[in-house]
Order: sequence, then C-alpha cells, then structure tokens
Amino acid sequence: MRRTEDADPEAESLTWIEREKKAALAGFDRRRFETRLKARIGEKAGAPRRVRPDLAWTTAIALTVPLLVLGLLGLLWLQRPGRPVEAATVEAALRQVAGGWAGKPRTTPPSILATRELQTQSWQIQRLIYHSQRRRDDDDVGPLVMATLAAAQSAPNPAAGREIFPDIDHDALGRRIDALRRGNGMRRLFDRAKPSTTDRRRT
Amino acid sequence: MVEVGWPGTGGPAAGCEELERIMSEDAVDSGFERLLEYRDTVFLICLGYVRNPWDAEDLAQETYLRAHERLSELREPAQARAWISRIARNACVDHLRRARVRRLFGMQTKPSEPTAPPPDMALDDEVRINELRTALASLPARMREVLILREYGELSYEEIGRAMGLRTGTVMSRLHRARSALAAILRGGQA
Repeated sequence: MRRTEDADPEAESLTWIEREKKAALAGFDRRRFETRLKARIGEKAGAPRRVRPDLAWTTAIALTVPLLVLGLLGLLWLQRPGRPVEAATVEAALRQVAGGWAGKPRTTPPSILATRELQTQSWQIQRLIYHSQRRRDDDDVGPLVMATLAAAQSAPNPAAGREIFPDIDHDALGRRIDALRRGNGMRRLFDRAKPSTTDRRRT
Repeated sequence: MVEVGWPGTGGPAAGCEELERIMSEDAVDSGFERLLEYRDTVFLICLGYVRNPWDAEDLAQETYLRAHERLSELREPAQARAWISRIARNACVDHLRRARVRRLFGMQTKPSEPTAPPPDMALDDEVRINELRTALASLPARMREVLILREYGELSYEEIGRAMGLRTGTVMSRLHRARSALAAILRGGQA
C-alpha cells in the first residue's frame, strides 16, 4: 500500500477491512438471501433425506475393514491344514535334541547351554506336536514327538521341559515315556545318540 | 397457528404426538428466524475466508442450511452467534479444502477470482483492498482465522474461543501476533 512513513500499518489495515466490509454489505441483498435460503430449505425438506456419513466414521471404517480382513486371513492361515511331516524330519530333530543330553547324568547341575539348546529347538518341537495332533497319526509321528519330549525331560535340568511345555500333563507324559522306553525304537535311538565312552571321558 | 386435528383412528395419544411434533417444528422455525439476525456476521466471516462476495454469499447459504439441520444441537441460545460462526468457519474451511483438492487434480486452474468490489468503489480503494487481502492470505491459517473472526465477524474474544475451540487468552495473544504480522507485511517486511 502506498502510505507515508509515519502511518500506522496496523490501524490502516483495519480501516481498509472496515471499508471492504462496508462495500460488501452494500452489495449484500438480504431479502434475496433469505428468499433463496428458504427455498433451498423447502427443497431439502421435500427431498428424500440424504445420509451423509460423518468423515470421522468413514475414516474409521476405511481403516478398520482392511484390518478385520487381514485378521480374518491370518486366522484362516493359522487354521490351514498342516503339511505332512516327514518321519525322517522328525527323527532328525529328535536326534538333535536327544543328542544334546544323552549320557549326561541327571545329577549334573542345570546346564545353561543345554537349556538354550532346548529353547532353540522348542519351536520345532512345538510345530511337530501341532502337526502330529492335526494329523491324528499317533502311530507314526506321535511316538517320535513323545520321544522328543522324553528327551526334553531327560535334560540335565528336568524342569526345563516343564518350563518350555507348560501346557502338557507331565505326569501323563511320564507314564507314556516309560511305556515308550520299554519299546525298542526309543532305546535304540537313545543308544545311538549316546556319546562313546571316549567322548564321556573327555568331558 | 397451525390447526391440529385429532385423528379419529389414532386417538388422543396420537394427537398429542402430532401436536408435540408441530410445536417442535414451530420452535425450530422461530429459533431459525432468530439465527437469521446474524446473517451479516456470517456473510462477513465468509467474505474474510473467500475472495469475493458471491462465494461469500454461497457459503453463508451453506452455513444456514447446515445450521437448520443441526438446530437441535444448539444448547445455549445466548451462544447462538458463536455457534453459527463456528458453522460458518467450518463451511469456509471445507470449501477452501475442496478448492485445494480440485486445484491439485487440475479440475480448477485458477485459485479463485480476486475480490470484485462494487462498481461504485474507487479504483485506488480497489487496489488497496486487494493488497490487504493478499497480505491477509499470506498469514498462517491459525492467525488469519482469528483475525477474520474478530475483524470481519466482529466476534468477542470469548465467541472466537468458542468458535475455534480455543481459550480466551490464546485468542488474545494470537490476535495480537496476527495484527503485528499483518502490519509487518503491509510495511513491506516479513511476518
């Protein structure tokens, strides 16, 4: 704006706002405004009510629906049929787990290393349990899984098995393990996993 | 007064409901008539937000349509001016946001028409008002809005606070900063 040096721009701007308002109000036809407004209100009242979803609700729904769909898909994925587990895979896992503790006397103080190994393997064992339960083939994979658990209970720290598999009835498991130990397969497996006398002397 | 008949089939209870409905409609109409007293304020607030009186009038219409729909939400009639000013502000902000989106997607090439003053306004005045509006537009939104509600809508600090959801102290300090910034821009300096 063109103004003198000593003019107060703040007061001047307010003056110009006043002038602009006055000029705008001079051109504001109130009667026409009201007539038009009442006509529009009448039109709206006659027209079927339009549902205007609130923006916040629209946003909430737009965010929630994909999350629900993803959650549903996740549940379906968890419920998918288990893939058949190869007996060889189970046996390999079993050897790996059982080999860690076989031959070590139960009186050995809790071995941190053994516990860690057990924990490392626990996801695999749990997966095997899950699949064996889903397949209902106790005659095939089930005993091997039980043997794995037996290995867990035979660990230097017997409580480790209970800590890692807290949902299992360990008393029933113990009875089952005893039955399994009487079988050839279990004994053979542990025999194979046992370190030789030379190895035992080294430790 | 509207004549209320007692429907033969509905009985007195149905008639009472009808009477209540009509009375509430009358209350809405009279409340709305009182709101129309603030049409100048609403129009001027809208003028402060948009750049020409035609858009301002359309937005004032939009404001009153929204107010008519939500009249039942007006709890305190004493706060009617602040209430409708808030609706006007929201309508203007929505309008400007939509215009920005349209520009973004190339549906509107020009920001909006510059101020078109009445034909009897002098050319020099027109130039100065355009300069003022450009300066106002360059203020940060939160400062500009307070200034518009105060200088165009002539609302009190409390009413501005209610319209914008701010405390009175915040309104006062923001208004002070807005005036200083506007003066600095007009002086040719920085806000």
